Amino acid sequence: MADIREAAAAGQTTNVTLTTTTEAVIISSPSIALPANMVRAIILAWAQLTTGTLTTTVTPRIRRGTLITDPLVGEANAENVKAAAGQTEPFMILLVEDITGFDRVEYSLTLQQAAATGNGTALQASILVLLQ
Amino acid sequence: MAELLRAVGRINTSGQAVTTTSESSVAPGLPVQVQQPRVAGQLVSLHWGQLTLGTGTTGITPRVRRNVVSSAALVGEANLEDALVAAGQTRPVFMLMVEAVAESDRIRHELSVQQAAATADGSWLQGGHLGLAIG
Repeated sequence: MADIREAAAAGQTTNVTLTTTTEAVIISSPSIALPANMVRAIILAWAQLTTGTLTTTVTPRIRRGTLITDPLVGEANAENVKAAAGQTEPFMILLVEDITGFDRVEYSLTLQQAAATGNGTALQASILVLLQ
Repeated sequence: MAELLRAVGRINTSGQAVTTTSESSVAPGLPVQVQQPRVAGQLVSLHWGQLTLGTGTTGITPRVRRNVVSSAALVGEANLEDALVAAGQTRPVFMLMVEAVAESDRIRHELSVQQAAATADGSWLQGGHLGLAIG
């Protein structure tokens, strides 16, 4: 049985704008010092998004870092929106990765609309990172 | 550096009515406390459940409330989500909340849901809660 050796979480209620079809960082975890050379990271993130006009899909991603150019964890798959554009719906993502040789790590939830002609708004979001 | 200090979990499969457009507590969590030698930390609350929408429901507002003694303050925001499915159908509800807490706080996060425009009760089928204290 593996213990959780480090844990970090963040939550926010500050609105974050998603500019039409540009990927945007919604929330980032605190920076965490790795307790060993090799660890397993468990990342769980959630957000409520009011989609922009004409949005057809939203792609949630986890990135290792705080920028949209940072490495992708897992895959980037577009999810069909389940409500009309302009409505609010939740997004959740749970990923696990093994990392080696880092001093510190932080993770971010990003969202990206497709086909949108209007901006979206992430109303609130949270992220939890557990290191084994 | 923060450690996972405590983890509690609870599941409820007994079902519960969500009365038309009234806010209904559906998933009380177990209390979690940040204990000495920590003087402060975070409470992370993961709520999940399945809700069958009542007739006419156009959206739902899920909320997490904090019970400290008798208060029931809102944690995070109360945002109206689209129903996502037709009334009478079942949809998942999910919330992840993080709150800074002091050592002396013994906190229980509780999930509530409120239907919008409903003319009939919804039904909360089952739900689970995971509470973590980090410090």
